[in-house]
Amino acid sequence: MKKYFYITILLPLFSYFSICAQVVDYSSLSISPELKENANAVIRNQSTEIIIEDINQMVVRKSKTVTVLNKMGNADARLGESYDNDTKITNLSVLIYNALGEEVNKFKEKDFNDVSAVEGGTLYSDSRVKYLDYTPVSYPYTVVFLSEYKTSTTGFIPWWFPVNGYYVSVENSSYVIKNPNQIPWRKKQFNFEGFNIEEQESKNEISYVLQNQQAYVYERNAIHYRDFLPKVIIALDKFQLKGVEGNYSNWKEFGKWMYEKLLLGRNELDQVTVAKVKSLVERETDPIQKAKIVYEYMQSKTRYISVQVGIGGWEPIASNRVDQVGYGDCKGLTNYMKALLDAVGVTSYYTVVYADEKRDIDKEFSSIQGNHVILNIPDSSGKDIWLECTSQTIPFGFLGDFTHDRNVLVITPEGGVIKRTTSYKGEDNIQTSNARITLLPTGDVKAVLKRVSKGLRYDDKFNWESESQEDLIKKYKSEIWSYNNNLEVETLGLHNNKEEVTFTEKLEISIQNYATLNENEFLFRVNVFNKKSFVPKRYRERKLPLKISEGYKDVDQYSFELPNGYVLDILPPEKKLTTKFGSYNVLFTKVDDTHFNFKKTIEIKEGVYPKEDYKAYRSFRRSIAKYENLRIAIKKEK
Amino acid sequence: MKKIIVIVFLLSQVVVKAQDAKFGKVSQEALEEKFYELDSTAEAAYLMKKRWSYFDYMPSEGSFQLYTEYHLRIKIYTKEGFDYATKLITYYTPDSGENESVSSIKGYTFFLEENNVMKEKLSKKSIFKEKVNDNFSQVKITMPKIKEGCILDLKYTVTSPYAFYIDDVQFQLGIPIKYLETKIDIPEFYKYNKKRKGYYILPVVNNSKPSKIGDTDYTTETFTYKGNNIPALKDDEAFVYNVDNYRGGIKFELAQTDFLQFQGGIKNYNTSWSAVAKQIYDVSSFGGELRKSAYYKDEIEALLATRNNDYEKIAAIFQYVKKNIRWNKSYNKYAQNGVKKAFKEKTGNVADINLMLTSMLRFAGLDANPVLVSSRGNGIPLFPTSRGFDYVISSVTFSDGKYLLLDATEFYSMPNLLPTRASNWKGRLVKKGGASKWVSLQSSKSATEDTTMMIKFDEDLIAQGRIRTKFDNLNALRYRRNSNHVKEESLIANYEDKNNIEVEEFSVDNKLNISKPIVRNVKFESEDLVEGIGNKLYIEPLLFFTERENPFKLDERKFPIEFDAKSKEAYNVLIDIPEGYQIEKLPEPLAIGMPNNMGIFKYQVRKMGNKIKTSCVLEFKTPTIAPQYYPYLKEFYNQIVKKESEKIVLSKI
Repeated sequence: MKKYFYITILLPLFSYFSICAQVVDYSSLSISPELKENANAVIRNQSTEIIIEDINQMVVRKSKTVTVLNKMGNADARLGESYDNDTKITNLSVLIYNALGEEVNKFKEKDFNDVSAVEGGTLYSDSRVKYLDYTPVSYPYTVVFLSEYKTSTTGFIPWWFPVNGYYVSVENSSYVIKNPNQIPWRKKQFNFEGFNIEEQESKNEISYVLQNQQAYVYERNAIHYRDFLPKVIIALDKFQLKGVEGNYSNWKEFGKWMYEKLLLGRNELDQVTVAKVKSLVERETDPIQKAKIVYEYMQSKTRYISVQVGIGGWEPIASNRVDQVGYGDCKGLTNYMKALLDAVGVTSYYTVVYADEKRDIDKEFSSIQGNHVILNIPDSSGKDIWLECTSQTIPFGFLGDFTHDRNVLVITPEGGVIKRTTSYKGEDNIQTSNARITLLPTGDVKAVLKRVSKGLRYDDKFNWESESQEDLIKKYKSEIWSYNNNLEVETLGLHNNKEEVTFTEKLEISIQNYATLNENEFLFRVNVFNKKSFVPKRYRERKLPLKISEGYKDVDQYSFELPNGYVLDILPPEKKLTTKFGSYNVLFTKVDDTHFNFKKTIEIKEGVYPKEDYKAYRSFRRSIAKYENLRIAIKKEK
Repeated sequence: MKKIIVIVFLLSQVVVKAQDAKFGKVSQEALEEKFYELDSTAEAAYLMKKRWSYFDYMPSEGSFQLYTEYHLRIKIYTKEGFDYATKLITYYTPDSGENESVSSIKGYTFFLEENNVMKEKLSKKSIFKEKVNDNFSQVKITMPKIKEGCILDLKYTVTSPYAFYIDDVQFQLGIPIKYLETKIDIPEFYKYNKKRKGYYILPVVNNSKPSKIGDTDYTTETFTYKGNNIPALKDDEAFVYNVDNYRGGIKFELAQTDFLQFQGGIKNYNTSWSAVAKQIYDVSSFGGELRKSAYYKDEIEALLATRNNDYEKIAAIFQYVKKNIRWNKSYNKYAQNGVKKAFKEKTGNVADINLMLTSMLRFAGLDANPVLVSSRGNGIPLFPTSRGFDYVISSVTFSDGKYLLLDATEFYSMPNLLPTRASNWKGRLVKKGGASKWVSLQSSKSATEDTTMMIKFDEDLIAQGRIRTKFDNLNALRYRRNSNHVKEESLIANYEDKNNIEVEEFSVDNKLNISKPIVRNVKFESEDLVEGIGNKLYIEPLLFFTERENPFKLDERKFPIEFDAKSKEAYNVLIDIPEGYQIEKLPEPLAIGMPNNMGIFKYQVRKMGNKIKTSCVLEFKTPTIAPQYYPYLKEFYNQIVKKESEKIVLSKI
């Protein structure tokens, strides 16, 4: 019995050692205290081995030993592997060790759940995932996860990203990629400085090792961890993607490949549709006006539905199919819009972008990048127009924060070109509020307010147009002005001006018991409608640079009428704050004994600042937040 | 279920399906409609929602299959309603066992083009089938040519070999229904209990008709529900666990099968709560699991060796299970892994863990029994049905008739302190052999939070203070569950953020000593607690604990307000009057209550020497408040907010 026991335990260990050639102690007791500091999990040893057997054959072998220190660390021990029609998983296994390093559990491929890996927003996709649903029985524990898969898609080679975010430390992480046939390849390294990384490179092999990296702590208002943690991306000049061969070494060639293999011939349209759009623009001569009419036609005809099958994850659905069913994903809808523009003689280009979180397509390194597609209408004077084709409501040429201000890849028939999308900064994002506020002797307030929003402030609000009156009033009461109890919206009018890209709100408002009354005073907060109470969190010792991701400007002008029987005393002096992060100004002016004006201007600039500046920014915002609560007292007439 | 043996030659039964002339045809007027007449906020509405469930005899299988045909006609008013153009149908396809299927999918989208009614057929390419996991598959349908104002017509049939399981009849949904018709045909061999749920009911029309399988005559009973203009019940309010519980509908639960005519037998299912309990008890993954004891015998014997009385034994075993077996987050009244495997692998579902616990307690000589529970999300079990229970806990009854409730899936739970998910109304205690009775699950103890604060100001009016907060019962459990694993650094940061103060010292006692309340001590500093206007100082008596917003803002509530438990929140704040100042004004005291003593608020600000003492108590004596009391609750909070916002006014001497 005992002998048998030895054999079974030795075999997996032996094969494991042969991969990473390093003895790992599975006990969590041996982890150095520095690596435990701020860590929810410790990557004891992670190795990724990639073998490029041919341009259409790649084997990826991964082994990951992680000690999970607490409940939050389970996310760092994800026990799953994705696959699809051209990726086959050839090995999956998991071993669990307790705190003392004794094996307590063992799982094989059959123990894994096999489920569809459809992301939110996608109706159907052929990608699937096998994952193990493991319930940890005590902490800390150590898991050894081995996986191996073979794929014919070499267009996307796994990156090396050894420190995967915050609260995770790394004892040892290695990456080796073997290219025995010496298929031409390129690599790019990011953020190596300050990290303990060893690298080796030969004609047919590249490898990296990172050791003893302490965990980072998340800090708010910081740059993304991707922008300071080490990363390597590698791409082959010749590759296969879902059965389609490719060949490129720069963006121009990449773009050409994409144009020829994925776009060409997919932009045909039914003659009826061509005639239809032609008739829509027959009176227009200006290409921009034509494009605008066609864009609105496309918006009224389509909706966003995502279906990703095979090469469909990369290739748009043909335009005549979108025309027929009236739906498509970003690729399908953009390609359809392009086809419609082609039909009326307006040039436009399919454009690949990273959407949502602001991220550039790497200017120097061509590889499969991006997660979204938009349309570019070039302009010789540099004022290109960009179209988001998945929204039925967004104005022509407006991008919003989803894709603004970043490098994108524009696919022209001649090849790929990197361009930058329209940006909305600082004063572009302005909100102006004008209000006439009447204070009543009961302490109640009546007000008439007009608020106009532009740029990203427009982006935040233009969808309100389609919300019901009931939901909007709820939003004003419970979200926007939640700091005003007893607020009632008496009338509400919204105007979405798509031509000017401005959003106007007109409201009549009443607030009961707004002021505090006592025998001879009437006390109230002057900043009725735009309280900026954000104060950045305090850090005893800030470690990461400060990032203000969105700049804006707010101008609030209120004219107050005092209640009957009260007179104006002294008004507060002007308040002025100017910093490199922006400025703040509050000015009171007396009109007469019963009227005064309040004007507040706040401007915040976007930007990245060194960590030393954080304190100053916090104190700036603190001063603002405090002044935003300013109350004044008016006296009863004697 | 017993298969039915029919010896006679069978003509396959012809089901005469009423030709639905309306499918594939809609009127121009309906397409022109811009909003739903009775509820202009609706993003979409069912113009028609028809369902017909019927049984059909399958000679090849020797058993009945259940067919359910749906015809849905949806009008889409706004872009927000586009989601209704995608339909997901989930059906049961276990890896081992018979599979359900979805068939006869047909659909059209209707829209107006230059004032003509246009119609687009749903193509096969827009229908996707997907195996979601080992047990379920999904058909995903997305309709073509969707735009505002369009109408879609969709038909499909779900076929199930699990004839006894009839899906709930839904009367009410998140969007309005203009016309609803549901017909359920049930052959006399099957008897069901029907119980309504929610706040919207439709009358039932009951008919019967003769039917025939081969030579066997039988009666088919038809239950028809028809309704017009059914309002939507939206899911957008706080303090509710599962709004579906309040949407109108009918549940069907199998009570009896009688196949005597086919040489089969009579089998009774749930006709009463005791029958339900007995039936569940008789399932091997419930009662069977309770009887196993060999797997833990050695461990528990060793554990009990040094325990002298019942309480020590209970505490030891409860702690042992909580500590050693981890819950895999799965709810069920039946064991998933089986207690033996759960014990060995140290993990299991609710039943694995609490049935194991019960068995161990019995082994220790205690009168321990499982208690069937309907978890919060599952709603209140309205009528005898096994589906009414989805959870099980354990109990120990003493000789004086008093009992303890235990749930070992929650590490921080205590005897008689259940996690919120399990403390729903009442549960069914099941004794050996299957006899059962109701026991209340509601904790007699309030969730409490008791705060004392002392504060003084220096010459620059910077405040220095100490806060001691005691959390007990459910509040202690929640604190431990939410914060015990969080680093102190983050807890401090959150506390600073929430209260806008700077924390200097922070400690939490009894984090793991669960028999005692959590005690949190904080020392802090803040510049923002006093407002100076002219020669006066204004201070909120409760400082940053002031309730500044009424959580209830809407004018009306259609379903109950569900708190987690009874609660009591108390504050005692002592403020040193800053040097050189005197009291000009203090808020008046206030004591108010809700009807029937459901809620109480007491508030008092007094001068005590050179200090100002504020005491405030907010108490709710019931865990749920019925919707008719909503206006009172809203007004109750209005008064609280108003009172707490009144400031202490100090003036310079």
